[in-house]
Amino acid sequence: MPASEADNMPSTSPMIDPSAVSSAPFYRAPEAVRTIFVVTFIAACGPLFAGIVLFGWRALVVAVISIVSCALIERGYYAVTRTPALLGRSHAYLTGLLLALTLPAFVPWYVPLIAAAFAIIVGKVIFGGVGHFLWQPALVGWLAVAVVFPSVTNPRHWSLLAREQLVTGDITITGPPGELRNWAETPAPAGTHAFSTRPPKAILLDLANSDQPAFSALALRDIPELDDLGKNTKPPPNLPDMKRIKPSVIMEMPRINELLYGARAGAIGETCIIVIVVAGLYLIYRHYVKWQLPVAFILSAAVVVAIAPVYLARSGGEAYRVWLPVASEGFDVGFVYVCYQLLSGELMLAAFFLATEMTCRPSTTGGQILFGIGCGIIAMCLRMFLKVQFSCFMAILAMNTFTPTIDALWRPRAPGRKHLLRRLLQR
Amino acid sequence: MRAPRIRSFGTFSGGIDLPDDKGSTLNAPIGAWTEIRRLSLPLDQNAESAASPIVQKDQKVTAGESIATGHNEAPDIFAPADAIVTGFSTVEIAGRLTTQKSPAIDLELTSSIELPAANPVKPHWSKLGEAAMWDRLTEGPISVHRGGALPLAAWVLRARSKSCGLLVANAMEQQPLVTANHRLMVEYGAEVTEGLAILARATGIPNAALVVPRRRTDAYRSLAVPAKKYNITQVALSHKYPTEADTILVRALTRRQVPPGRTPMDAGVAVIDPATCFAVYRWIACDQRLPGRIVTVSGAAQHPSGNYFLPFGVHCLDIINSDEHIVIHGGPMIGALCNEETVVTPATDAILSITPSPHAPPSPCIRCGWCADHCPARLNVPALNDDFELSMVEDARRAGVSACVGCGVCSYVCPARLPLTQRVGELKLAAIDAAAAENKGEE
Repeated sequence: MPASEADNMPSTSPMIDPSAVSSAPFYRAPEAVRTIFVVTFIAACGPLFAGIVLFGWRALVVAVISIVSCALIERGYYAVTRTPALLGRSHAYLTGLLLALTLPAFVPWYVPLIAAAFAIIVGKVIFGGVGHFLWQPALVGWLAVAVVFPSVTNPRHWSLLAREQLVTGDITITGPPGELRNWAETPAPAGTHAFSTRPPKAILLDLANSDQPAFSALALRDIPELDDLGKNTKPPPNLPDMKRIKPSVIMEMPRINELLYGARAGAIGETCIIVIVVAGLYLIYRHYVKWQLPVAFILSAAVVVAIAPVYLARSGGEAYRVWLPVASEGFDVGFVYVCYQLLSGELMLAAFFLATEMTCRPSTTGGQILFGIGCGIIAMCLRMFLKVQFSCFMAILAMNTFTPTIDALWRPRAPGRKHLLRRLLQR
Repeated sequence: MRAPRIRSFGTFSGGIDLPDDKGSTLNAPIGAWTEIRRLSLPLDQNAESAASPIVQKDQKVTAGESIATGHNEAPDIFAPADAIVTGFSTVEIAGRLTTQKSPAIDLELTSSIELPAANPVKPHWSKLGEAAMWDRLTEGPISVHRGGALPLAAWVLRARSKSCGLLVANAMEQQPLVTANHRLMVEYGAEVTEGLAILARATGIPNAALVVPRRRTDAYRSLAVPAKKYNITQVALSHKYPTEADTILVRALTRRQVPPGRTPMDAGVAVIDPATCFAVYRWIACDQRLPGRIVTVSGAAQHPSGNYFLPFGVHCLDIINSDEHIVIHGGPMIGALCNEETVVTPATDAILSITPSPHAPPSPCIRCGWCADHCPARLNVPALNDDFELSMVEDARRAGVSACVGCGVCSYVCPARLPLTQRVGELKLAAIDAAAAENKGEE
């Protein structure tokens, strides 16, 4: 290369595309499909790492089984059908990792294996591989094992490592089922590594359950009313010092900072909100995810939670159905309640990692907002009205089905063409 | 048509920030390329009507002698220098949408061609009457210096018939490596401005504007004086690519949207480029026929990278001949590969040699949607890609594929490395053909 040319070539390395040298443009942005998958994989390693810390080495085992079997199954499929695998194995790794994030750490070894088989074969390759599948493959795999092994993937009591057993503990050695209010200061029962407790979203779900008004109120209440509340309220631990007692829903729930750093029962990748949000923000920064989609998802979920009815106990121990719980006992209390609802489930993982899978989300910004709103509304309606656990995953699968329709309806408007409304009016 | 207002701000949805990498040619003065021995002058710059040659093989011609007569829309063709006619051949030139073939006269030069110094004649052009100005324009061999190379007289007629309210000289040169217009504006900026004023007068358009990129405004400070003299508005627009595309420029400048498949004139704005203004000035005011234009040459063996005055009809591969690199004419975003028949035309602003990188095959579309996000024409590119793969031209036509400006942004950002620009371009051609066939059927 002549020196004059060398100093004239762009220094910011726009790559030249050799496969299309017959046509312009002769520069390409350096971003490639493989980069997208690899970077998303690295971002999703954040929640996995948090999961390994919180749920011990069994989380790592689940993830490794899931990732390796996804890669092997995809490779085997392409070898058997003799079609070339077009994108290497990067997307299979990513699918395996996302799948592991949706599973509990204490599942037996065959559960991630079967989930991986469903994810790759049913969710991905029979549609034609990357770019063609309709549903998020990791969620297809999760759905399969959630249906086949409900007692393993969604038990009543979940386990959570005690503080002194982090990373190295075995999550299957649990104590008796019980309540866990203050994880940081509670030692594990003797001879065990983990607590067995109900996941916080299941506790919250009881609020919407009319049979057992397990909780009196969302709000702070004056002490004189304590008698009226009767059996529905637990006596606060330091009663003499307090003018008002804490609402019992907060009494049973883990503390909000424990929800934020993930010390609660749940699937491997769903608990550590801080890591999920940071990794999600990085994906947004890389333009792999448009911020509108997770924001629409979370906001619409918050709106539904704020409106959907819950059962609150009033004087005399009777339960009343209360609409608009966000306002029923003051907006400050309502805000705390909505935050608990948003942070105690799989919503954050779903909004940042699972709903944003490129192939099965709509391609335009408007379509993605519609998709996110649909996901949020369906997820929270399923949870509040039908008591579905893991409703966010269900909602994403449901909205994935509508992605082609949204893409067909919500298109960018070419310049000089009339607005849809005006076109309809002229017709 | 009411004159569109120019806004001090302006933008459009989509587009990208290309690396502003002009390399060493940005400050290289315009040089002369003296080694040129053979030319193939295309006769068909208009694509509609070729000029008829009036010379024989082995005939000697002198500089300025007419060698082919045009008619109505095709201007006459003159010998750029003393030469011998060596025969007739076919060349490839850049058309409005794609490259096209054209008959050509081969010349063997016996003298060299250089850019002459400006020599204004008396009386000053502003003293010319309208009829005299029109006569001068139709006599001149000037083509519009962009794809399609429409004769200037036809362009002026079109601008008058559409009663445009704004004349814009588009000096937005945003593609990497291309600096021809920039150097022209730096070294001959006053002449370009005056050429724009001449065109405004010829077309009868009251408002004229000179649009430059915001990054280069420092280099154009000296143009303020002539611009004020001829009442030309100077506008600096953002560097977001592709503001340089005509329809996008009109949108950024006036907020008017050009209907898909139409020219900016349909929105009341006539867009011209500085090279044409320069040629107009040299012809009307100096009585000089410019036999070539300023071209950015990068990666040639004989000369360092820079801007050179190259005559029309010189073979691109005579300028750069490289086995290791690919040679393109036009900018890296919208240019085309050079072959043995490609020659420099008024629409050629650069001849570049580019290094291909190792092979990476396109992968299936993963529906990331970046192409649609960045498309300045707001096209739904993933859907158009589907239309291409399924050959559904009618669908693409309804989606407004003819609004595509061919800027190359979709291919640039595509992580799957799909040749989207090429595919959408082919759909656009097919849609235009289908529309033409439909119109014929209706008649």
